[in-house]
Amino acid sequence: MKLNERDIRQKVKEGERHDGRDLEEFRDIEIDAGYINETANGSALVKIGETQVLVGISIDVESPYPDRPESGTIVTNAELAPMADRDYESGPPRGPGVELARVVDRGIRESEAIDLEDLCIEPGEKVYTVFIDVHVLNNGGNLIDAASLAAMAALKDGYLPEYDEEEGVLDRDSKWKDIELSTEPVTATARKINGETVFDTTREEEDAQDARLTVSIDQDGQVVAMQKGETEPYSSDEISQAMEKVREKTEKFRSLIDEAVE
Amino acid sequence: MSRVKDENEIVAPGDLLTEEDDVRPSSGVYAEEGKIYSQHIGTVKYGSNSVRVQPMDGRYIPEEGDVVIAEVTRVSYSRWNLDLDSAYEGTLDISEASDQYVDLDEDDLTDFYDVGDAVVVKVTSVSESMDVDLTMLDDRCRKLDEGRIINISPHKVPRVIGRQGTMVQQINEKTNCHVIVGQNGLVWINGENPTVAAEAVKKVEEEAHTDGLTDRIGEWIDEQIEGDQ
Amino acid sequence: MGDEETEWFDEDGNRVDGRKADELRETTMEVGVLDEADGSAMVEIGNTRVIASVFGPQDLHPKHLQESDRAVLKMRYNMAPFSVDDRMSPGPNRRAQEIELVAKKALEPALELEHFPTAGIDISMEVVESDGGTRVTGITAASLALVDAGIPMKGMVSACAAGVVDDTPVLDVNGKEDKEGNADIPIATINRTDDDTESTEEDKITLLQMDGDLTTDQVDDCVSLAKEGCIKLYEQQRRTIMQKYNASEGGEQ
Repeated sequence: MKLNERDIRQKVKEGERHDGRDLEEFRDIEIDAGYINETANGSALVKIGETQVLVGISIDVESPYPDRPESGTIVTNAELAPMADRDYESGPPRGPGVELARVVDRGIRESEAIDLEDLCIEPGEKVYTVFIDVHVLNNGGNLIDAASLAAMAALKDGYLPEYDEEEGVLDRDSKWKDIELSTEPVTATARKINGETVFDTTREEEDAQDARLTVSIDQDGQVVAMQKGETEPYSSDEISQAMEKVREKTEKFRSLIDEAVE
Repeated sequence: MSRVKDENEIVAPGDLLTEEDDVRPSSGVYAEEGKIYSQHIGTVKYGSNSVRVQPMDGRYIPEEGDVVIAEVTRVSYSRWNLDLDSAYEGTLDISEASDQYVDLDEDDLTDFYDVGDAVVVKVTSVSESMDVDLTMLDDRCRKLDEGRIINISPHKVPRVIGRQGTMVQQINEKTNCHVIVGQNGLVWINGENPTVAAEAVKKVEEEAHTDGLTDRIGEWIDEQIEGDQ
Repeated sequence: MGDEETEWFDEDGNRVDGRKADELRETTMEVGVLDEADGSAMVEIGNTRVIASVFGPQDLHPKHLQESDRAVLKMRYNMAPFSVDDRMSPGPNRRAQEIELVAKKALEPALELEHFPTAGIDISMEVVESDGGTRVTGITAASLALVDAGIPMKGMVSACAAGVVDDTPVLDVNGKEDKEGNADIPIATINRTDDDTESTEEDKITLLQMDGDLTTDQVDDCVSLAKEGCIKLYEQQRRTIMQKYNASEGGEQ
């Protein structure tokens, strides 16, 4: 409601939020790795406050792209299930779903967390394809951070099934080896509401936001991906500040993932 | 022939409530072959010769006389459309918005209320085809310029208001806020400790079916306010 | 699909997953699992897990779909890509459309839709993991979600499938039994606390499908078996919704 947007913007200037959190405080984060028992080759359900995002990893074996015969592929897809939000209708992929998939994908791809050559079975013939399917179950705000966290946890939980080269068959029930991750990128989105920086917005706070900046950072602290969204511009200083804050905020994410995957 | 479920028992849809001859089915129940069943997960309430089930939850259905909180969605030449957080929207005609003469060719309706404005408004009539007419010409009606609005189940509104307003009054006093509870489950809060007030309202909603709630809420608010000092 | 015949029952009469012929898989139910939806539920039967949501009654668009005297149900059934071993590409498919139709018909008779003229009620079933019985699990979850949303109902709808393996009727077929067995008969029933569970005259079956190659006696046996499953599931549904309000279950069947 517009009244709430005005109130949120006003309160933010006083350092206050409707649910009593500090401006940069995250809601409770829960990670349930291995949520899917049998069918997925890795999975994780992440809850941040009321937001719930489920990511499943599916492995397939396909022929590689002709211009990259020794590389496996990663395909990231995001579905905003109609159950997640009264305003979502069934139908073809909506803008936000496509952007969500691409932002999650970028963090993983640009950090080279998965060595694509490691996924090669037979050069020019057969490579593993890693499908990362993001399924948003409940939109309580901050889908990007929840989805990125879930994707990372699912990959860490994930494994490659055995491929029988003779028979040319993928034994989906078998485990050949864990998905090897050379680094664990973590992602957080800094948002601007009425000039103030806010993290982990609720759905209503997002209606009141002016801009957002998503930053993905790898284990060495390198920035590997960024995405700016919404209308208001950022200054260079604001961008630098956002990167630093994201670095700080995501420090605990890796240990949360590790605990969950144990 | 007997009463299977007692007053204030919690029942589920399809639960047999009573087979008594002289009990009439009221709201939230239905009769079949002399037996009365619940249609909801809710609480059984007996009247002098009737039985109903008060549902735990469900979306708002407008009723004549309800005072609700709504948001303007559209402004036309001589009226406004309002979102009542229901399957049914409401219409406010200019004649019900002002008792002054309004020259529609001179004045713009947006001078009164514009899209996005939140108001307290009253339902004057609901037709069979669910056309809902509204009015602002009631002391309780007003435009809401500040504060925030939260959402509770319309079925919990009586509990949040309390007997003779005691529950909402307690919340107002202890949090130093002004809380207006709309029959449609939208609750407006403005004042010194709106977050505590909002959480208190939500707490009443969650624990509505329990006893000793007024005291517990009072204590809880005191703790929260003290904690914030 | 190997060279050996599947041994459907071992010498103790245990099925491939250790169950007896008339045993349901381990079932977990939870209600109110999603915050945005007006009602929601999750039902897990063995390795089949479905989340259901309900929005409504709410404004229905486009207007020409409205009915002047009742609410209109819209049903969605979708399988997450990772819900099956062989990843399923997202997008509409005919099987989903068929399931949406029969699921709608399974639930409609239990709903008092005349309370909400011109409105719409949107029901969604997302299969997050599939191992046989996704449509019946979806209907069971949807019924719970409808109760959670406060939609008035005549009774609670539960659904269960029976099948035949090795010429024996079995309750609640798992994925393997469904794929390689001789039949799949999903049914749904409307349940109330005072049902005569033995009655074959007064029961209310709202979904009945059959795939296979059986004698009429076998079909009767399967329907009877599936009904037993529906009753057990109803009891669990009722417990689940009552527990949300910390109510004792009282008035068992």
